[in-house]
Amino acid sequence: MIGAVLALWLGVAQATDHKVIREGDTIESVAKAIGAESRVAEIRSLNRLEPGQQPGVGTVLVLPVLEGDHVDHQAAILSHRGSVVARIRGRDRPVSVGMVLPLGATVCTGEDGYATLRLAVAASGGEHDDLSLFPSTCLTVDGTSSRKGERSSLVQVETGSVSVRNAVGGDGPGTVTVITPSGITSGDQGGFRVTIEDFAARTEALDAPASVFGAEHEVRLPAGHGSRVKTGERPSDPVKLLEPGTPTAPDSGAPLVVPDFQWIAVDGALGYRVELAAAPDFSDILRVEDVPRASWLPDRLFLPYRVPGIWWRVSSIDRVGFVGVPSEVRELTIPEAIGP
Amino acid sequence: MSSVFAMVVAGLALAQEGGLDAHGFALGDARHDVRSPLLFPVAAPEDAGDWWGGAVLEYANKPWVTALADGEPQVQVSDLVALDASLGWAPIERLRLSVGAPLFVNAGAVGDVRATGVVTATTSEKVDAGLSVTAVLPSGAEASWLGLVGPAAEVLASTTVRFEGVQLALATGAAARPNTDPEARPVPTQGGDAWLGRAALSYVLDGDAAVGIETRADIPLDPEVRVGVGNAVELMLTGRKTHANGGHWMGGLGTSAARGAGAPVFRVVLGGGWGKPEPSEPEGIVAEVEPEPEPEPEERPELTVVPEDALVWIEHPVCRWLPLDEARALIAELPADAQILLKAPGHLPETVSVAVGDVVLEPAPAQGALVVIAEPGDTVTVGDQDVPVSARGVAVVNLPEGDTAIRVQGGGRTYRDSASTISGYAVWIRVPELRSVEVFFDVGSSGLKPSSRSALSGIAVDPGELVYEIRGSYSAEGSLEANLALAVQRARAIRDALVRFGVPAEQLRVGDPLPPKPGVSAEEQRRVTITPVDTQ
Repeated sequence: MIGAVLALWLGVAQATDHKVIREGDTIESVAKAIGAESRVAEIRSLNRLEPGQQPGVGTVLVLPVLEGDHVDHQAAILSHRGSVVARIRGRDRPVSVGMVLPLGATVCTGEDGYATLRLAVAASGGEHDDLSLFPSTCLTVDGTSSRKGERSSLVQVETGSVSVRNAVGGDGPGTVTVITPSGITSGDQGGFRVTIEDFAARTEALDAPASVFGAEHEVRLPAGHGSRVKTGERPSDPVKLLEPGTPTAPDSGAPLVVPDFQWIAVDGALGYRVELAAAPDFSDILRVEDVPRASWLPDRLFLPYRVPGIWWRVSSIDRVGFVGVPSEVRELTIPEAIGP
Repeated sequence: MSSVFAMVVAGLALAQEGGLDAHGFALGDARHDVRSPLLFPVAAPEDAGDWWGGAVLEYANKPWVTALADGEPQVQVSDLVALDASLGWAPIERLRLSVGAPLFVNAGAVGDVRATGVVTATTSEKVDAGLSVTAVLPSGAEASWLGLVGPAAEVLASTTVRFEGVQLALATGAAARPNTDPEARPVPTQGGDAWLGRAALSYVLDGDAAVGIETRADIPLDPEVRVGVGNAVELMLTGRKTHANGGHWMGGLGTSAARGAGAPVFRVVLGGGWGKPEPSEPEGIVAEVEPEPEPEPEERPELTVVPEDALVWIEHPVCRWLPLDEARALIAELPADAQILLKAPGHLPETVSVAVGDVVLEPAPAQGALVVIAEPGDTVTVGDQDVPVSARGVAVVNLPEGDTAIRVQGGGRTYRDSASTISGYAVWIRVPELRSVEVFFDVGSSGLKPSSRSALSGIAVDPGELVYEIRGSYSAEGSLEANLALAVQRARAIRDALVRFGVPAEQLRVGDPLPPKPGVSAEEQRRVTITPVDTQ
């Protein structure tokens, strides 16, 4: 009996895989898809479903960990800038690079804070999912796992904005599901952004498709489209996002002597978002600035210089607040006179 | 039966759980997990076809102590010596069978025969779970004093959890001894049906030796028996060592505590055996092949990094920053020419080869940098230091942490600012462009035209902390004296207008009139120029 209790405890502690129910999904079909046809009752029990009861569209179904599944460190801090704290078991701690976040940990960024989490590192190699927090964002890690080369991460965002890096290279499918107070966004190739608004959540599918769920309805977003879901309502129909302006200055690869960022204006753009990072994949964001014109000449810019370089890109903001697909990435170098 | 038993315990009061019974130690083969318990069987997969055998010699100083009604303990058996022999075989991967029996050397009799089957239900790298069933068959030798006159059985559900070198094994179950006959035997040493509890915590010392602490408890179901026997618990320190050739040794030192009469037993066990050795050569007929020379082990010095709290970026398989002590095992798997990135708070990051032995990270200087973007030809002073300015008008300076005053001079104006520098960060500061504003007037008039108001509003909206010099100009037409007076009058009109717009008067200074510019029309000469010249 003690052994059974221990096994149950271990099972619950690692029950981190999940699946968002879509139209036509049943408990049985989900169980079959993961090779657990015989564990339908267990899946119902895990999700507190009565025998015969089927979950509605948009339900986040917790799945049991199967033999061969891999649960490594659930999440870890990959980078952080500005004020960022992690709440682990009720205690606030300053974050550090490499810090492991157990399930249930909450990470909050301050007004000047950025952080990127690395989620669900696969057992087979370097596959993983990266999720970045923008300023004034609070996120809780609910689960991560890697099953037969497919990764799965589940997070809750209470405030602010997060973006999931697009899966590139040899990465296999990695499902990242973001639960907000107003709805749910899920995508299996990354490349989407979720922002909490007043009584709503805004999703922008950038480089890959994503799905938005609300009021037991799903809206599938092709890449380059956005949707807004208000609390208790269905998600809006897909809205085409604006194309980005092409960066024109500074020259790519030039030293960042004069921060004079310019790009080609886009018809219909109400403004633009400029992002600066210390990594070409934007896993280490340094600054995000929304500006009204097709240029940004900051009076004062504060950046770390012990970094491999500075990368920047720009997105267009439309008249209803959707932030579009980022432009090509431009690299800048740190002037030699600065440092060490 | 219980009433008869009560009469017996009233007279004698059983003391020790276990009594004369040898334990039925779990020998296992050489490939068995060296951390597995000795006192009870646990689920653990074997290779199909594995076999083993051996014996354990047991000494107990007072294995059977009774007490009379007045509580005086009576040692019925002392200095017991028993040899517990057993054989085992795994017909399939998840099933293990064994049989064993104790030979009581003092009494010259064989005790109960124990046949055990263990089924491993689930197994993984960290957790095993399964079930063991033991059939106990009485040998019938009265001198062995085991109390059983018919078959009995024990069932144990076990779980083992491994982490690093530690293994925790837990088992619980029940013993059914329907044929315990207290009347046939003076004392039913096993106490009838009981709940069984077992636990073992063991630690592997190296690859083939382990030590542990184990406990076993039997709780009789019959309340009267429980009163008489108590809930006996035995604790034993154990050790096990195996060899690749199939041999294995085991030993233990134990004592027990039991409520009721009697005294704690002191028990010593020592044994060994032999099992199917690790296969050294492939079976069957194989072609003689020149063995490939074994690659020479890489002699790689251990990576030592100062400071110790350095993080290392491991691209594979974890793809993230790890403390060095956690990363060592992964680094050991990397090829010698692999590059890793090291960083530590307050130190400069460094990329090194994993084959490098000692790495001392260079402390990062506690300095930041300031980039002042001025105009070509400006002079830039940071603190007390004049900083060279590039042809583009940019000055770069590295500074210790702290607040710094900045002064930029050139083009007839002075700009003052301050900045805070933080180690490892640079601040780019753009000096605002100081452009003059010109306001034009009608002939002979010092009144502002409506179109002039927009020119002034730019200053009025954000005058900053600058001081503005306001100077009137005049054309060469007419009396010089009158023209000079009109120029001053126009400049004052502009000053008054700016004050009305909210610009503090102390930021406005009326200067001497500017003489006419050659080649400029008379209309353009009738103007006032507002030039920011300095900060307050």
